[in-house]
Amino acid sequence: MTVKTLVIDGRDVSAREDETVLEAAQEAGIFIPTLCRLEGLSEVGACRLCLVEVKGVNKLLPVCVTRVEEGMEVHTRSERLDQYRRTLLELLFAEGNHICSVCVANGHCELQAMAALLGMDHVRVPYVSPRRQIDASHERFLFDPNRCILCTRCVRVCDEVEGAHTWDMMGRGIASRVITDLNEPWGDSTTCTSCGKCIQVCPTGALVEKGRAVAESVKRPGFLPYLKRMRGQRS
Amino acid sequence: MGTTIGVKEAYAKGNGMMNSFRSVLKMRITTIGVFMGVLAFMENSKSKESIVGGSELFVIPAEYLDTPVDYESLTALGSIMGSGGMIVMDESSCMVDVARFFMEFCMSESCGKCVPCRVGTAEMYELLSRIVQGRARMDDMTLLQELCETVKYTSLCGLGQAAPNPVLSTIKYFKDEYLAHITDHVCPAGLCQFEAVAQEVQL
Repeated sequence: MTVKTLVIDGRDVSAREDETVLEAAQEAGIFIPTLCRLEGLSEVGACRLCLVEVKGVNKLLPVCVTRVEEGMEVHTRSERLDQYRRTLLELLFAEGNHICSVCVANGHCELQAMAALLGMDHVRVPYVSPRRQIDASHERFLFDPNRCILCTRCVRVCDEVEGAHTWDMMGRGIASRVITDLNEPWGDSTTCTSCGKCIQVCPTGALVEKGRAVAESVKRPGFLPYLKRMRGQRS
Repeated sequence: MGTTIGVKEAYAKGNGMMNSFRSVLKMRITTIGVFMGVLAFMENSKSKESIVGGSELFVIPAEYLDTPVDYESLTALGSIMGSGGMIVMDESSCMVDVARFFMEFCMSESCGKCVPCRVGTAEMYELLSRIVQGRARMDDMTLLQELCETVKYTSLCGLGQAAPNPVLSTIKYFKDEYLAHITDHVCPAGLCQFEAVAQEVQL
């Protein structure tokens, strides 16, 4: 195993050659915002919050899918990146109906926390205000697509970890949405094992357990890295 | 929108790469050409612009009519060859409406995977719709430019990265048309109907 050394925000960081820049940064205690990524699941690079500037590279690179390279010079914060990240969050807020005061995830929502952290205090872009049907047909769980940010964590955990592949994507562009089975009600799903992993990985209040109060709805995705370790490199 | 010509056809008729837009345009334009990769210009006396580069195209105003159709010259103009088609427009085309048309295309072609392309194109389409319907304010113009930059630099694939090009290049060369729509509620091409504003006045 070769060790690569790189510079992240002016600090010398060493990393294993198969690590991503994000992992190297996290090990060095450098924070890079992410939403779609979750440790223990595959990477998609869809939220674009983890874009960084790399010296000598023309484009912005998503660190969650960028492998470390020798001598890389990474800048994770800049005026420009902060502005892009805030705009991306504004787009996410405008796309759905994210009204924190009536959301069961209020106070432990990753989207809300990210907005607070990155200083996105208001939304300037026009709200899309979609009217999407809530699926409460499952005995224990509830899916509110209005609060979904399409991070596809539920899709990935259901496929990669549980192996049921109940969740999937449908449609394209602004009409994309997450569905259960072949767009059937969740309660009628023949593949869902009701394991509840999707609830735990959902960053917002889109997937929640029924009958839980706000304080009881804290998500616990910590089982994932443990499962991944115990199962070895398979998955 | 004007007529599209396939550059392959133009090459076949002309003398290869060093044709200028003007000489390409002198040929009879017979086919509705390649969809991606569009070069456009306005040829007649009041001709306005040409678009080069793709459905995510670049608009080039008529003063560059003598630009040779080759990679270097187009890059120097800030445009791209794409698959080499071109669209020629005269003053009866509204530049904001053209930008909106191509944004609608990008919006419906977006796969929806990454945030800037999925939501950004829809938001830019909404802002452009506001402008052509006379509902826009100057803030919307600033916001549109900012969204263009964010979508261009943060999108995952080429579609999103190129989606703002028609907006950026029309703003670059035809900003006065945007401003006429927003501040005076006038469409210089006489194309846009300002229904919302007209309704408000009636009320």
